[in-house]
Amino acid sequence: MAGHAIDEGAMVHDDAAIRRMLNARRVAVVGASRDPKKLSGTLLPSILTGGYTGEVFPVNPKADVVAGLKAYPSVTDIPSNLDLVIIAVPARFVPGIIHEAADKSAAGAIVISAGGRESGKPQFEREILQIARERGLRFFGPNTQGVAYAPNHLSAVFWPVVTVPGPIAVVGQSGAVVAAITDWAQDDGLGVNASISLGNQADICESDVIRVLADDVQTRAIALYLEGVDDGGRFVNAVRKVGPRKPIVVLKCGRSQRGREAVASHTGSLAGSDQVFDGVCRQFGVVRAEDSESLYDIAKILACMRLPAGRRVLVISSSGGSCALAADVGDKTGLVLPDLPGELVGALRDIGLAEWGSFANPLDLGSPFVEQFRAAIRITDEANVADIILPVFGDPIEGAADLMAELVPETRARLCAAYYGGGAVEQFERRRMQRAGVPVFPSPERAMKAIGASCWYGEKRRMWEAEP
Amino acid sequence: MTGVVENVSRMLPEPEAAALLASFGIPYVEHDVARTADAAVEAAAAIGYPVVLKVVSPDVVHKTEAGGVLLGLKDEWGLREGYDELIQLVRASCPDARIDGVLVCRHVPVRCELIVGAVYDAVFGPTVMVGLGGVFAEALADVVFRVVPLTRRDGLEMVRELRGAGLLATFRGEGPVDLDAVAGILVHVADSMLGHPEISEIDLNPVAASADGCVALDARIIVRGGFKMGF
Repeated sequence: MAGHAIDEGAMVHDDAAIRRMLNARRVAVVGASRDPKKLSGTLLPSILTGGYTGEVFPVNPKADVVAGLKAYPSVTDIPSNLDLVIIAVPARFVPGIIHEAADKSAAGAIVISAGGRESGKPQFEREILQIARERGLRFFGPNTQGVAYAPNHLSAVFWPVVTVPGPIAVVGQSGAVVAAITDWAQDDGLGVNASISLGNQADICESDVIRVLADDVQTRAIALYLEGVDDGGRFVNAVRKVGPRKPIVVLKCGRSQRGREAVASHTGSLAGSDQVFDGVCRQFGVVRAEDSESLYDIAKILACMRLPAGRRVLVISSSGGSCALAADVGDKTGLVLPDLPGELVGALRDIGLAEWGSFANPLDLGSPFVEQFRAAIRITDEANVADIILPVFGDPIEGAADLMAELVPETRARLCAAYYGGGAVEQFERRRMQRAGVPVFPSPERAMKAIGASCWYGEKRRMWEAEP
Repeated sequence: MTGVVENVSRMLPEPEAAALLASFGIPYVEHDVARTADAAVEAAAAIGYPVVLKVVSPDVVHKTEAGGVLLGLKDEWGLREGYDELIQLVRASCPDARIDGVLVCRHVPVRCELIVGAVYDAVFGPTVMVGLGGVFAEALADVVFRVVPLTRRDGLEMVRELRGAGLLATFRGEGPVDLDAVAGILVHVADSMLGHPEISEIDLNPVAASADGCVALDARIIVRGGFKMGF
């Protein structure tokens, strides 16, 4: 049974160790192979190309130099104390290395090595956890793809190297999902502040990372991928504290059907593991994403756009098709697309929209030019018809990025954009727009889903602020 | 009986469950236990017709299936006939069942049936649930969970999150269900799980919800061995 009693005093101490690991200035890489074709051979290059400015000590008993750096035969041979030890050697060597790391006053380790529960050997995890507890170290993994932290320019990962810093932290129990979201964010111009693959979580788990990132000023939203929660009480304690302060978006796959205690009631038979998890999320304001794209999109909008004051959305587009798609998703997500008042329609006619435009909501401008978008957004914003205005640039519209960057500070409504069907111009404009901090989505449906999620979180925040 | 039985979970008989719920502040339909037809008539006279009869037996888990529930008995004649019929039906379907009597309950007109429950989740510990209830509760599976402790605001939010929340608003000329009363029951159920770790499951199904409040019409409470009524 999950216990809810947690020693809060001990946790504060633990969190400090994790912070010291992320901000490490002296790092040892144990198992730093010279062979870039080996996985462990990519670790050191990742750290170096990531622009890390601290000291790096490769450990390799078979080489004097690795990746241009002096190598040491063992951690013990390193002539200074350490903050962090990254371990990528076979499991049987890991316990000894944790002891050596402790001798060097390291705050913790990233255990890349596999060989734990995924190999049917949970005793390996118990052994290193016991040593770490005794010696006062924390560790990520085992079986993790690594940890990257942009403020420290530290990419202790196989891939992807973090080169585009940004406002979201990507955290997950799958290296591939974390890598994919990190790739998208960097490619998009949004960037990441942290990219953390949790591995088997023998020690540091999602709840620890949530608490640490809550106090991390550069992280404005946390994107979390979960396959299961081991300690429900710890998770509840973390999200109860963090949910009201910083948005957490979670994608949880339904594979882990944890057993329930034997039940005899209707309630018991209705308590699917996902139903209870969903209740916990809603209770503490954790936004649930239904797939990996939504996880990324919702983290993006919550990190970049101020929370909307209500659910009224005005869609403005140059394309009738994208208007219809946006309106459909709006209905499903509980967003309101209010009608435009008559006098506003008159004012919109005066800005010279095409005859085939539609003066409704969605507002179909019928013309693919930035000037009409600018005029329409200004006029409708002054009339206060919506809490969020979503321009859908449905053609190769040049200047869209500059227009959005110009309008965001002067617009009362929240602004985000979709760019859709714009070819090479879109590729260019979309990245510029995102780099300017305006959330932009590759389709009107994805934009509307993200808006819906931001409205839900906004309502939660207003409720907590009105009555904590 | 051996001492082993002490460690096994058991379901409280309905009169005990009702008394326990009342001690938690959860309204339970007005009722009395009768062991003879004459006693049932006396109880019904005090409660007022129409009444509902339910078998009280530690061996009958599914009362309705065993023929152990009769609804809408309008007068003494119907009650006496119903009493005999109920005992016969239960004897026929469960020949070995001990019958401790019948529960005579007030018949409550139902505006909307909810299910309220509590169960231990293997990961998150004690949880509370609300859903659209009655015989279709499992088929509809329109339920919302929360972990304890629960605030009244959490309770209101749970009810509003039901897919069928529209049924609780003004519907077909009937006034809106008293959501505060529903939230109150949810909070009481959460508090009882927190305060009584020996309770492992609670099922209130149905809870009759109306504009005037809500009241549990049936209850299953599963307790771990060693539980004693202590109020």
